[in-house]
Order: sequence, then C-alpha cells, then structure tokens
Amino acid sequence: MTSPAWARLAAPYALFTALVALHVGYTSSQLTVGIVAESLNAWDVVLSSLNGPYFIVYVAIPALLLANHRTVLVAGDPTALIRHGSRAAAAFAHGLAMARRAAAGVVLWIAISAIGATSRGWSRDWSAAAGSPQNSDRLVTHTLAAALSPAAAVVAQAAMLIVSAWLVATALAMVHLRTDSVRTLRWASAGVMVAAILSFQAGQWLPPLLKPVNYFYSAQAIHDTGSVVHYLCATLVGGAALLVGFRWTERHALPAPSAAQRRWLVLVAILLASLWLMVRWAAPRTDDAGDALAFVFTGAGEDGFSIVPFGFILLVAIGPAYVVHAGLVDRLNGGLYTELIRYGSPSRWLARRLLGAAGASLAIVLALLAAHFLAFTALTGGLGTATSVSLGGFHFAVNGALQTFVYAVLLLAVTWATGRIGSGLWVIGAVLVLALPGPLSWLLFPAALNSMSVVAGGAADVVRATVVLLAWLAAALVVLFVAARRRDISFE
Amino acid sequence: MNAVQLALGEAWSYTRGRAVLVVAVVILVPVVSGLIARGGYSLWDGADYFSLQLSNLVPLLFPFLVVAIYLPRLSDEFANGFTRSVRTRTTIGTYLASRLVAAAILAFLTFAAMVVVVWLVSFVADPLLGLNDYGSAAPPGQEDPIPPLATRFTFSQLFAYSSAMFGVGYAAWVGINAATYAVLGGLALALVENRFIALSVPAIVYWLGSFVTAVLGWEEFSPSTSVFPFSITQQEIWQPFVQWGILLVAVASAVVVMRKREYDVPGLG
Repeated sequence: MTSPAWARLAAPYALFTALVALHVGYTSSQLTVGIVAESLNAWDVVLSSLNGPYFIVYVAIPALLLANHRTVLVAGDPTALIRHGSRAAAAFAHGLAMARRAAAGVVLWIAISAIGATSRGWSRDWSAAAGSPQNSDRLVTHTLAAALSPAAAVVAQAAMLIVSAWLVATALAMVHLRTDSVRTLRWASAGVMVAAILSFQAGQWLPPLLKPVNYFYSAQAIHDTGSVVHYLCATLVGGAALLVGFRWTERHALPAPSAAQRRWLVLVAILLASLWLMVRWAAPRTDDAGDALAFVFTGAGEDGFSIVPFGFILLVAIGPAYVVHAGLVDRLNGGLYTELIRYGSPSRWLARRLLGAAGASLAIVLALLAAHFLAFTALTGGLGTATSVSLGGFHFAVNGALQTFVYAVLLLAVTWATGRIGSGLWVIGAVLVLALPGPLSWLLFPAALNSMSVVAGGAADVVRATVVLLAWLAAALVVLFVAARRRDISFE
Repeated sequence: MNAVQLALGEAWSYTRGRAVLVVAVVILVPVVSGLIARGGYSLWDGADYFSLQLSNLVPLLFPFLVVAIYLPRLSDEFANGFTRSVRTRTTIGTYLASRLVAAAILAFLTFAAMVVVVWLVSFVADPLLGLNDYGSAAPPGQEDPIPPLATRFTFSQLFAYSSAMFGVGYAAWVGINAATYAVLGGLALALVENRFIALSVPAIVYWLGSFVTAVLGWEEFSPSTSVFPFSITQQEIWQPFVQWGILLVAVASAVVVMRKREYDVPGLG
C-alpha cells in the first residue's frame, strides 16, 4: 500500500523540522557558553542558526540534493519538455520550483530559530547589538547587521540560500536534461556535495567564486556589505550564463560530451583546481609572476621535497598523456580495423592520432600557463616585475608540451610494441621513479623535465632538457612505427 | 567447487607460471634499493635500515606492483571472452569471486613476503653480515638523538612486544592493503570497459588520494603514508585503518553495483 500524497510531502519537511530544531538547540547552547552571550539578541541567534556551516554542509545541502534528485527526473519527462517548449526552459522552471521549496525550508528554519531564541529569553534590544562596540569580536560577526540592521542580515542570508538553491537545482537539471543519464546526475550531485565539503573544510585555498558553500552561508561575505552584493551578483550572472550556454548548445544541437571529452573535462578541472592551490601557496612568497611559476612547478617546497608539488608537476605532465592514451585504448579495443581501412595503414592512423596528441599537449600547457598568470593576477592584483618569465615561460611551454607529448608517444609505443594494454602503466611507474630529485639531476630521462628547477641551471640546462626530450621522442617514434609495421595488431 | 577452492587452484597454477618472476621482482625491489641507498644515510639501527628499504621505490611503485602480480592475467581472461564460456560451468558470481580471492591471496602473500624478507635482511642478515655501521650522527658528548624503537613510526609500537611481532604485524598490514588494492583493480576491470583505465584505478586511488590528503594537510590519512608510514611522525595505530576502511567501502560499493546489474557489466563481455 502506498502512503498518501500529503504524507509523502510532509515527511521530508517533518524530518527537516526536527533537524533544524536540533541545530537551533545546539547553536543556542554554543552561544550560551560564548563570552559575549550577554550582548546577543534574538536576531543574532537567528542569524547564527542560519549561518551554521556544519548544518548547511551536512544537512541543508544533502536535503537540497535529495529533493532535487526526486523532482529533476520529472523535469526530464517528455510531457514536461513539451509543456515548457525547450530543455532550457524546463531546467529554468525546475530551478524556480526548487527555489520555492528552498524558500519554504528557509522560512521554516527562521521560524524555528526565532522560537528557539525567544524561548531562551534572549534580549530583543536589536539596536544594542547593531551598535555594540564588541561587534567585531562577537561570535556572530556581521558588518551588514551593524550597518543596516540584524534583520537585513537575516534577509540577505536567506536570499543567498534561496538563490544558491536555484542555481544548483538549475545546473543539475541542465546536466540531467543534457545527458539524459541518471548516473551522470548522481555524479554531478556528488560533485556538488564534495565541493561544498571541501570549500568548507579547506575553504582557505579556494577562490570565492569556487566556494559553493559561501553562497549558502554568508559568514565570510557578511563581513562586508559589498561582498553580499558581489556574491549574489556573481551567482545570478553565473546562473544566467549557464542558461544562455545551455540554450545555445541546445539550439545548435551539440551532442552530449563523449567519454573521451568527459575525461578531458575532468582532467582540466583537476588541473585548474590544483593550479589554483599551488598559485595560492606561491603568491605570498613572491611578487613576481615568473618566480611564482618557478615555485609552482619546481617539484620541491620550501620544506624540502614534498609530495604536493611533486604530485602536481607529474599530474600536469602525465595527466594529458594519460587521457590521450585512454582515448587511444578505446580505439584499440574496438573498431581499430574499421579506422585502419579508412586511413590505409597503421602508420597513417598513428600519425593522425599523434598530431592530435601533440596539439592537445601544447593546448593544455599553454592553457595552464595562461591560467597561472590569471590566478596570480587575481590573487596579487598584478603580474609584478615578471623578470624571469622569458626563460621560465619558454621552458614551461616548450619543454612542458614536449614532455607531455613524449609521454603520450612512449605510452603508445610500449603498448604497441608489447601488444599489452596494461603495459603503459609501467611507463608511468618508471616516470614516477625517474622524476625523483636524484635521477632528475642527471637530466637524462624524459621525467620531470618540465620542472622549473631545471631553469635554475640557466639557459644551457633548459636547452639540454629540450634536446633530451627530442631524443626520447625520436626513439619512441622509431619504436612505435617499427612496431606498427607488424601485421598482428591485436592487443591483449 | 566453491569460490575459495577455485581461487586456491587458480592462485597455485598461476604462481607456477609467470607470476614467479613478478613476485621475485617485488620482493627484491626494496632490498636492492636499500642496498643502493644506504651509502647516503647515517643509519641508527636495524629498524632505521628497515624503514629505508621501504621508503624510496616501494611506496612509489606499490600500486603498480600490486596490479602487475595478477591483474594482467585477469584482464586477458575478461578480454578473451573466457567469461562467456565459463558461464556454462559455474555462475559468473562464483567465477568472479574466485578470481578476486586469487588476486587477493597472491597480492597478500607477495607483499607480506616482501616485508618479511626486508625484516630478515634488517634484523637477521645485517647483524650477521655487518652490512651497515650503525650509530648516532650526533657529535661525541652530545645527547644521543636516537629515539626509542617503540616511538619511531606508526606500527613500531609493536616493538614493545618483540621485533618478530613487529615484523609479522607490519607484514600482515602491507599484505592486507595490497590484497585490497588488488581486489579493487579486479573489480575495476569488470566494471570499466577501458582496460587501461581499469588497471590504473588502484594507482589513481593511491596517488590522487595521497595528493589530495597532502594538499588538505591530512597526511596521516594518506594512502601512501598509511601503508608505508616512514615519512611522518608516529600516529595512533587506528589512524592508518581509516584509509583502509575507505578502500573497503569502495570495494563494497563496486560489488553492490555489480550485483545490482546482475554482472551485466562492460568489462566482463
């Protein structure tokens, strides 16, 4: 027997109410033990409750994602699409519907917080709180509350929660309607959840626009009245751009990304996120963008050899080659003969694929170089004197792209020569070992030669790295094309 | 025959073949790298030499070595359509379980043996042969900086019982982790169509996990330092189990997905 509709509707709200009540009780108890409890008023308590990052990250966002998941599947229904006229309109309508639900949830949240606050006998002297000299030291610090009124801060916080819910719901609806895949929707929802946790737990490393949790809780934004406007505007502009982009791809009937394209998207996202972290780490240590580039891609931190920069430069060098190779393995596994018929010979097919790999290597390295300077400018307000950009930039762009391309060719050469799909892993393992500082100092292997520590040796070492990479590239190409002459091209 | 019997038979038949070479390499890697590296270090004692052997190449190559032991054969079986013919003799679930158990047994035995060999070299052969000159690097007259064995690194707490207890306990720990990564790789082979990506799943989990935990400042939960805890200060014994627990959750999730799809997964053909 199925439960009645009202019960299905009421149950989530009842659960949410119970969780909010628990949260309010906890927040009140925390405020009670705070050093400034005597100067708090009801609006402070409401704002504290509405600002609670743990509650937002671990209750509000999961609740939003679960509710979204249940309703977004309906938005993809053919009748809904006909009714709305387009996928973009359906996604927009879904986002608005979720924003309405979020508004109901936020109102409920505020009401329970207010009841909790007044039941504990908090003072209602709002003006005292707004003008309090200890305002900046208080458990709940909010310039907006001091500048306007605590009520305005609560309204701003509520607006941010609702607008954020709209943005997330619309974006996820677009993902679902574009890919028509529940699995992709799940992954995207999980991505939102992970991003929220990371932005809260490791928020100091993330740029404001990549802090989804900051759209939900305004603890930082509320320090500055301008930031609230900034956050809301950024959210609205981001949402509008999302809708326009989605509508454009829909009108031009662009296909959903393939598995290979999705891999590139994931890699670029990982690389950009890692680059941001590294630039954030490097920016306070220098006022020169070129020096920062050296810091980011040196492979050793100020505390000596560390897994973070080592992992980063290997990620940059091996990541694109890995994705290129994964795409080639897709082709090796199925449909290779069809492609070979089209190209006439394995050598021609390989040449075409390798040209693509070379282009991808160069594109990704140049994109990272541009992203580095953009990130540095965003963090410091300028490029600085940038005295060491020329040699470092040349080394990074040329040797970096060359190294990535060498890895792609090596992976393919070893795979083709051995006839075993898994043998490419040994190339990656060897690169890991040879990239350690000891072997790297010899500049003999195609490993970590994109490290900016090579620049410290001057132009001679940079050129030597280029020559070494070209020699390895030539050797790998010879092995590959000799192996390609083999008649048996089945891969185990 | 049940899955365990099939697994034991498979593990035994495979060990007699090509795997012997792989196992030998895995066991020799730390010993050889330790012999090469020891010249550049001033070693305190056998425990220091033990950690040196397991600090350089082994943590770097661990996931690749785990994969190399058995998973290429499993990959061949899946790719060659063996799974289609095996369905006439046993259920696909039993077959897959037997292969995963075989992978786990081989990985466990290989890596546990590796640690035991390193322990034998450090605590038995070295005192007999006098490979290293141990002692404090501090100038004469200054305080001896050598910390007690039981506080040296995670799992060295077991030295409080005996050196052999440490050897056995730590060998079991490395073996268990190797077995879990091997099972994860085997499941990835079944679930992911692209075999290159599937075979690299253990390495991606291990390396990306190590990178992310290092970035977040959670080195104590890093996959690499949880298995080879010689580059960080001593942690509570329970802490390495956190990453292993996460691995187990990943393995269990993969099994649930596969059963939910009734083994109709891309890798099994």
